[in-house]
Amino acid sequence: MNGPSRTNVRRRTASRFAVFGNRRLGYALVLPQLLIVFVFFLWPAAQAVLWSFRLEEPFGGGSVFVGFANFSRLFRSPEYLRSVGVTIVFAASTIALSMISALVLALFADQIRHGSRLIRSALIWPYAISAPAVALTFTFIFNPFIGLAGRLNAISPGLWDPLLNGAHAMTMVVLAFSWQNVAVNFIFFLAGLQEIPESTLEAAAIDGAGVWRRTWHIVLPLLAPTTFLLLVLNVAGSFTQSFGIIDVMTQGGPGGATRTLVYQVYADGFIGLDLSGSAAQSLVLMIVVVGLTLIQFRFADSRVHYGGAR
Amino acid sequence: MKRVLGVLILVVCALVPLYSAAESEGVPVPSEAPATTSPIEVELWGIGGGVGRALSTFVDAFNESQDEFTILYVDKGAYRDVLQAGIAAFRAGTHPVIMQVLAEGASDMLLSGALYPAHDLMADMNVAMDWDDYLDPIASFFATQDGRYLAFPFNHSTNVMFVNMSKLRAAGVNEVPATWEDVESALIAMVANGEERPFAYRPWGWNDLAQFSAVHGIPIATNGNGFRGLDTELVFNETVHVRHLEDLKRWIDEGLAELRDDYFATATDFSSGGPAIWLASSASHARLAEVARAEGGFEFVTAPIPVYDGYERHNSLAGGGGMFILQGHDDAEYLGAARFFDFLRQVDQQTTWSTVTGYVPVTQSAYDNMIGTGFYTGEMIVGREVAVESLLAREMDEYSRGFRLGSYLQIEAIWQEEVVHILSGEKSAQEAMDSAVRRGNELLDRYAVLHSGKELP
Repeated sequence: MNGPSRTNVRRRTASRFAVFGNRRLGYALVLPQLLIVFVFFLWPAAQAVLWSFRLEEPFGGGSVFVGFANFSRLFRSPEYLRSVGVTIVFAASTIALSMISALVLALFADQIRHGSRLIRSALIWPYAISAPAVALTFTFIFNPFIGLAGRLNAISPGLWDPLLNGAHAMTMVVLAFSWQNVAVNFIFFLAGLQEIPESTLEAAAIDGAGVWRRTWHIVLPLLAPTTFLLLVLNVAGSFTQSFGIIDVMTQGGPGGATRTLVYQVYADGFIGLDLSGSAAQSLVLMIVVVGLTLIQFRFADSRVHYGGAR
Repeated sequence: MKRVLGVLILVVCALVPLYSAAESEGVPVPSEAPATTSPIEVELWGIGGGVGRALSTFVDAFNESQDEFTILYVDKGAYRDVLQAGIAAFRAGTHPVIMQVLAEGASDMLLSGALYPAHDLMADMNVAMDWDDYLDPIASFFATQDGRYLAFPFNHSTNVMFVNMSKLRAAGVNEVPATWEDVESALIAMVANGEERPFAYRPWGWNDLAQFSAVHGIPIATNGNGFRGLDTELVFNETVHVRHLEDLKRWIDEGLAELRDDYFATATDFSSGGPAIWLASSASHARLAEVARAEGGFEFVTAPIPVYDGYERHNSLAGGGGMFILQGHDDAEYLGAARFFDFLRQVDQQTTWSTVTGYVPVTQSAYDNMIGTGFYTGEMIVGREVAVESLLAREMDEYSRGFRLGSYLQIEAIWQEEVVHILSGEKSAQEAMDSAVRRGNELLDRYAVLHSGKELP
């Protein structure tokens, strides 16, 4: 999907993969991977399905079957519906911000002739920093009393107030999350750009196309597979990975303004000890993310041009 | 085939060191611990920080006092981390013998089925215990309604008001405010005298909801704050609590109070640029006293938290953590735990604990001893007596003995979220509290369904 054409992959198959005569050995070698998938994904997911139809005692003493009560509780709750809205705003803003800025950075980094390795490495670093560390750093920057952003309040008190103003708090977590995700998007975009044959661009230049036209009509369409892959990853990521940033920076506040679906799963499950409600929420979240991914493949995949043989 | 063998050998080579490392961690080395005389280990999961450091000195003292048992204290972070880790471990069967849980979260423990009641523990282990020695307000969260202890009281404090009296005097206020009306007029006087926002505030359920309701003798919930049954509903949207939140919002709008994100660090600038009035845990006294001495010269007063005019003052609540015993261990370990708690309740241990940490003594005998030895007249100590006096202000009644509400910590989180809506101006105090009560009642309903057929102890 990323870069090499389909025919390429097919041609390489024979040489790249070993063919085992012994079936059992093959299974044995796959087993550890399957075990990991089972223990860390399938088993908990099955457990979540089970719990979401029951009320489960935190300490595991017993449980009561409640049918769809956990789900109807969710969809009746105005706070849960608000979390859906918060998640959509968070996802749309972080995806737009981190993908566009990564693309711009990659377009420029691709042009650098001297010291490009250094600059590229520097742009990749943020991805190696853990979310809580990023969040802590941004918390200092955005602190209305002692932080850099606090200087806004010197101009006019209350200009920057993430402790009470939901929009300010949302801006803060979106910036922190995007900042971290720019890195991984950047790597992919840069790799995608380097796959674009120099000759195509040179031909266009000879035909008189300027930088803008070349970018718009050649580079961006050829980047489509990369962009699509990143979109799928970013949508899934922004729906499911906001926890680290939000837990450190706002804990879902103020007044629930940054409580995304995944943070609510945590808050209800671990602080509220409502394992069943939390399981129902994770199930809904999982269905939403899987659904979104399928929709993207269905509608976007057909429009993405994978290049063909070169 | 050769290649496959090679891979297998590589894999085995990679795994062997891992395996042996795991083994050397898990199994004690024989030379260090001869099997016959090695003490029995009793694991205790508690909170970290200052409390944890103080706790570990007591653990060390106990471990040195005898050689049958070793209490193994594990720092699990904050209260909620201890509880989360404890629940996960209990489900997996790797839980500790003793777990430190916040008093407000006690209700969730009582019906959990995971508890080995403290009272039964001491009886089963034949360790004599004078249960009546524990101070009554501390019992309320941890004991059944007929006074049988389900957990051991441990680190407890109550809510008090710290006042920088010098700033009040400078503004012509010579009495320590006893009512919220007094507080407001003192704030107005100080602002007129040039002070900036002399009241520090942050929405804090323990302070604004639990303690406030207790000292006013007003309900948080029906059924005597949940003690009489599981079909309980919250009612804090119908009490003077709503007016209190309105006042706080108005104070912030009028420049009398300041919303402090760093509320719990307020102690460090209490004297200089900081607030003149700060409501906090009595355990903060030690730090404030140090700041006051370091800064020199200002008059630092500890007082009970205010009540509104027309309300009789009730006792405040004991907050903090208790020690819960979990089921599923050997009698040998339980005997160690029983001995440890017998050790902790001794007068000299309690006195040391209270001196070092600023928490209140939990037994009457330790309290009497501290009064008798003149502890509370010490230079850095004056003011600490207010905490116990506030706890014992009068006989507890229906609403000042605390509450027994399932999912209370989550109800508190909802409450806080709604208070933020008041402060940001999105909702009136009444609207916000109505919403908090509606959401909280859903949690109580769920709790009732989950535990239907059970009796609250």
